[in-house]
Amino acid sequence: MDERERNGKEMTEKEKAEHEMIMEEEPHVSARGAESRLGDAVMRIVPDESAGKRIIEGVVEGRHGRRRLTPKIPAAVLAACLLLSLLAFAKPGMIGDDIVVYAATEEHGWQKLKEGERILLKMEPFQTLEEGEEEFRENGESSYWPYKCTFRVEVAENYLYDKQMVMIRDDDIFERGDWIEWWVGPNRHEDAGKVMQSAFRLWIVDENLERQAALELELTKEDGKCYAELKRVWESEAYKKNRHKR
Amino acid sequence: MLEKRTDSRGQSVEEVFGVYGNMLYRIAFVMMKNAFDAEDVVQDTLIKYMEHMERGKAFETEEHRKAWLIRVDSNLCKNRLRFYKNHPKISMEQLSRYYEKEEDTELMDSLLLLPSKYREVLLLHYVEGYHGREIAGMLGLSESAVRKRMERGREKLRRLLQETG
Repeated sequence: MDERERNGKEMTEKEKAEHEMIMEEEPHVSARGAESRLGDAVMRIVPDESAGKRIIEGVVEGRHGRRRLTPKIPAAVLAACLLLSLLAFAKPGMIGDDIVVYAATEEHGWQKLKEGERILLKMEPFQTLEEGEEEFRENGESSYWPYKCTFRVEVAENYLYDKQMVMIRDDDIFERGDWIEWWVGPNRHEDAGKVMQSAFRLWIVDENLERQAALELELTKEDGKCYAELKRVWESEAYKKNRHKR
Repeated sequence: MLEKRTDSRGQSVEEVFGVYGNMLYRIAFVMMKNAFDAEDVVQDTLIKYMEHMERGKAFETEEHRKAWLIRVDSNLCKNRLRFYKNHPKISMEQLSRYYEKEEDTELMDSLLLLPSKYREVLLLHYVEGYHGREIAGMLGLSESAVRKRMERGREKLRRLLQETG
C-alpha cells in the first residue's frame, strides 16, 4: 500500500468529506476570482501548425532534444576584441581549434577531448529528488539520477548546437551554451552487458550561418561506466583546407 | 529510423498528437515559459509514449493513458527546470501572440511568475479539470501536499495580480 493510500485510510470520514468538498467546490470559488479566467487564458496556448509538424517529424524519426539550432554568435564588437586578445595571448595549440570540449574525469580533472580518443568520465554523485519526493521509476520514466557527467565547451568561432538522439534509456542530456550535463539514470538489471550510445552534434557555421563542419560528442554507457569520444563527422572542402592551413 | 510509428492500437503519431498534443503543449509551455522548450518536451514525451507502446505495454483506460502522458510531460519539464535552475530565462514576449486583452496577458504573466510546483497543480486543476486525488496520483504527491500547493498557489497568484493591477 503506498503512502497516499495510507493517508487516505487514516483520514476520518468527516475529514474526507470536507476534503472532497473543498476540492469539488474549487471551480465555484474560482468563478469569483482570477482563477476563472485562467482556464480560458491557458486554453489559448496551442502549438502552431509548423510547431506541430516539427514535433511529429521529430517523433517519427525518434529524434530527442532540440530541432531548433541555437546560434551562439559572438556579439560583434566586443567579441571581435575578445577574439583578438585571445589570439594574441592564447597558448600554443589553442589557435586553430574550432571547438574544444573538456570533460570532467576522475583521474585528470578537466581533460581536453582529442578526436578519436575515448575517455572514462567522472561520475559525480548526483541526486535530483526534492525533499519529500518519492523515487519515481515507473513505465520507463525516472525522476532521479544517481550520477552526472559534466562537459565544458569552448568555441573559437560561430557554431550551432544540434542535439540528436541524446537520450540513453532514462538518462537525460542537457546543454546550456558552454555547459553540457549528462544525467545518468540508475542501472537496470535488464541492461547488464548492453552498450548504449548516443551522440551530441555540434555544428560549426560561417558568418552566413552556412554549416561548415560537424563534430559529434559520442556518449557511451557500458557496464555502468560512462565514456565520451569526440569525432569529426563532416566538414566542407573549404573548411578542411582552411583548418589544415591553420 | 522508423518510417511510420504507430502505437499498439495502430494509432499513428499524428493521431496521438491530434488528441493530446495541445494539452501536452499547454502544460509544457506554462511549465517551461517558452515555446522552444515546450516543443522539445512534447516531442520527448511522445517518443517515450511510442517506445512504451512498442514494448507492448497497454493502458487500461483512456484516462490512464492521458494521466500517463501528463505525468511524463510534467516530469520532463521538471528535469529541464532543474538543469536551468542556475540559468533562469523568461521569455514573456512569446505569450503576447495568444492574448489581445491586457488583463489576460497580466494573468498569464502572474501565473508564469509562480514557482513551478504551484503552476503545475493550478494548471492541472483549473485547465485540465483534475481533482486533488487525481493530481496526487499523477505527480506522486500526497493529497494534502496537493491541497497545500493549490492554496498557496492561489494565494500567491491573487497577490501578484493585486500588485500588477
